Amino acid sequence: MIHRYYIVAIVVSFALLILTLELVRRRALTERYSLLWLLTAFVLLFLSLSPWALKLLSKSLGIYYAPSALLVVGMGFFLLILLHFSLVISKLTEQNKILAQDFAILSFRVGELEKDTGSERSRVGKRQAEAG
Amino acid sequence: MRVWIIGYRTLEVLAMANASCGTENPPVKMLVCHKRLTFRGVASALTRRVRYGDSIIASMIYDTKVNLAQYPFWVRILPGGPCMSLHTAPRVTTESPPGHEVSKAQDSARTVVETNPIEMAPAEPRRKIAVIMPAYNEAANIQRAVAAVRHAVPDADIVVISDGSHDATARLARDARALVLELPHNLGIGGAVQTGYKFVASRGYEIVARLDGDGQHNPVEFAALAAPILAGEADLVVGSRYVVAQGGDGRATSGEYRASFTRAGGIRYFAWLVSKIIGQRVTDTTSGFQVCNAAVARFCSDNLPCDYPEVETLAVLGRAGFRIREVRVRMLPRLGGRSSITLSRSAYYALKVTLALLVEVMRRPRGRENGPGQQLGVKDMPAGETSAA
Repeated sequence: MIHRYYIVAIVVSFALLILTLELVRRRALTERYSLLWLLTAFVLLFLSLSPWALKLLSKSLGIYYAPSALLVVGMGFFLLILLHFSLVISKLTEQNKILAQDFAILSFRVGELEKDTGSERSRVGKRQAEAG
Repeated sequence: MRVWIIGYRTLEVLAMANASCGTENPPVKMLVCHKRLTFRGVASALTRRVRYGDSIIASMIYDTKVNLAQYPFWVRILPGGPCMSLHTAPRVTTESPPGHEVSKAQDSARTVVETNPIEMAPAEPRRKIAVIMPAYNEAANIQRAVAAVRHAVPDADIVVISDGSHDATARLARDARALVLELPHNLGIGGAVQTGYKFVASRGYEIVARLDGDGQHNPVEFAALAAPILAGEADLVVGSRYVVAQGGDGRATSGEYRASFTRAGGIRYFAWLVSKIIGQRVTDTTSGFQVCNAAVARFCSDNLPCDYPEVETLAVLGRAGFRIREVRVRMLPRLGGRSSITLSRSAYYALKVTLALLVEVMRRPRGRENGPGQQLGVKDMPAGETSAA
């Protein structure tokens, strides 16, 4: 007997898989950050395609209603993805901070250098004017 | 050799006395003026009492229109404002105000003084001082704040970090002849201060002060904060609003900083927590008025916690083995603009900082010399330059 939720689950996880692959193909999503998404999609697809695996899983988790196990697995993966994002954001923030700081210091130095060479140039110009 | 300290009001004089006594302990004479004297008044008071070789540390609003040539040349004079010297050696400097033409008489007088053997006693080498001032949209205050620092510590390079300000903060600071670092976007106070430390560490400053760009810290008190560092007794000196002055009776003086009830509670809570963590009593963990030496500046350029740095910085530095000391300061009311701390943020602040402190305890203390790569031309200095207490 095929329940409707199996079909829904198959469609949704298949859509997720296709969407992820398509985004990677268009280079909108880098391979690095697509891995967890692909893994999620594959696992959800596998569980929704094979009811016996889902039953086994739900039994071992002590879940009475098998489709709930699908949700649990999905949620586990989403938590993992969110945590991964937090890590990435923290790293980006740190890198961004260093960039901004070094940018500020370097632009100060460029300003100083320009001031120096500017005065040098004007001095040279004056000397040339005196000679000419 | 004696040191004369002349200032307006006792507190200012004491701050300067602290600074000069920290280094050599020379006999100190104090002249406390209870009204602002003109330069003429100060000079006439001095010519009667000062001997050659004495050194004068003065803070006063001067009348710049007097002829400087008539007065003692070993007074370091800056036009139009209080001035202070951290050096106990005699100084032979006269500076005429901008646009004030140096007369021939002055020129010849100066030559005489300069060839005088007593006056040419070797002066202490100048300490390179930097003052870091983070500022975010402080256009209303920044020029006055920079000017105040320049008056109080004329030798210092003033580094203003405009933390992605949307107003004219950077331009105004540049007009006030500060060195301005302009962050492309807002990093928060910690990121801004760290920018300053990075900049300063790469340029070999020996003393680095940090105060806020909103004018709440009185730069005249810089000398008192810098004294323990000049004497090599501490690595970081924090201006505390709560520490009781030694020998003082602890009574509130006029102009005492009074925090609101909740704020005082928070400050006391963090003081307790940080004291426990670093095993040393601290009273004011949220003070942004700090003076440190080059080693701390270098350490901070790599390891400064970012969001609300004051509390965590103390914990991190304390655990890394730096010697921390507190010196009493007074907070001035804000000159203008609004404080960035609101009541609704306080709860978040307390939670976040507590968490950060607890996490910090779980980490191993960060070593002093093993920062992750000295960035941007920071020179490696010999290790163990300053010893832990």
